[in-house]
Amino acid sequence: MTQAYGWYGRADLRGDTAGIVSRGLAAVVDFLVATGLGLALELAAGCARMAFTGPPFKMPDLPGWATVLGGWVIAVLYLTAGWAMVGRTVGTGLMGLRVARRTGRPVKIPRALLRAVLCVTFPWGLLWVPFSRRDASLQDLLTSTAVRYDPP
Amino acid sequence: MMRRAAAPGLLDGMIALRVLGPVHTVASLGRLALGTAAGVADALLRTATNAVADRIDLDGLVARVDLDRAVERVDIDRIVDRVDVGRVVDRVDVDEIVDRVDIDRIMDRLDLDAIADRLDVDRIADRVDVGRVAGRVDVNTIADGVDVARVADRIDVNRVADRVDLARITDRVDVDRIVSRADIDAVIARIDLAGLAKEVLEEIDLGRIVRDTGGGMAGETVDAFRARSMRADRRIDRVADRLLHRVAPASGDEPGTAPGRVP
Repeated sequence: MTQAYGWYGRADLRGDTAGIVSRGLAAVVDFLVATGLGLALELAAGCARMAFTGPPFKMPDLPGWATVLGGWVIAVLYLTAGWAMVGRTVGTGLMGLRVARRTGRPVKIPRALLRAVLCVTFPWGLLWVPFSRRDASLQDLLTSTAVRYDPP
Repeated sequence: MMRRAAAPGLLDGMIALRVLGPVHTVASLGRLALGTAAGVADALLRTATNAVADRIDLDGLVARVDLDRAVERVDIDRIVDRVDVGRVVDRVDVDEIVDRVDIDRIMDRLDLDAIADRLDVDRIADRVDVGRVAGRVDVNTIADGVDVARVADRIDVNRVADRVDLARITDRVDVDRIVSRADIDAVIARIDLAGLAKEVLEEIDLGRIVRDTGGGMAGETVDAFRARSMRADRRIDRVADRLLHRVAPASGDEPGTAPGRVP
């Protein structure tokens, strides 16, 4: 066990709830991934437009609100898909974390969607983790979920 | 009677004179006399000539001849003009002359060095029509007669290579000019880059190297990063517990909960 989870230093920490540092870093990575997805979509839209209307290539010039809304939707869909399908996103996977229900069972799409909406809308809810006795963010409290160490 | 005896001869002569004529008789007698005189004179001349010839001192005469003066008086040009050279040449038997020539003896007496010194090679070369000579040369026939394999066997390649100054040759090579004349696109088009890359990758097994090195290094790096994050998590948890005056046991109260935390 120690060899399998050498990065922990203590094998019995597997399954323990993760702290704010690991979850914060995972959130940063997920933000970057969602941003990259948004840029990729914009690039694809520009390419599609050039394919239909011809050159020159030009990125879509969206208004501010549309950009924010699009980014919000992309982030929500990205987080929901990751948590509901494999229990982790790119960020949580990189940090060796897994999102599950408080009982340890996998989250399903409705709960994952609600948690994603809350995380994207109120990201500062993560700051509650150090003050929670079970390292729960506000989103975890509202959706009865937990983030635990679970390296792939 | 006597008169009568002598008288008949005279009589006959007179008769002959009377019959033949006096002119004819005189002419006959003249011819007889002249013939007799010529014979006598010829005999006398022969006798005298032999006697003179016997008494002539030829050596003395020759010694007294002034040959130089005689030669000066000879008109050579006139003599030459009267010589029929063609007829003389026709009468010459060249084969016989050649047979009688001793070539070896002539060659022994030849001073080849002196002849070579007197030769104006440049002048000879100027008069040689090289183009015409080259035009008459059948290169294919010469090439057919050359035993290339035998020539190649006699070539000492190593010795030739030793005499080649590669540095000097490479200094004279204009690489930029060569590259500018090269059709890189055509070369690339003839190369199966995909197949080549595939063969190279199969040969070096790049995937295994990436897995063994890059993958291992990335895994170790991620593990170290996760461990540092976990320790930071626990440190912040302890700080928060201290601020909130919460009791922090050494281990978790329940599986699935961070050490010192409640489920």
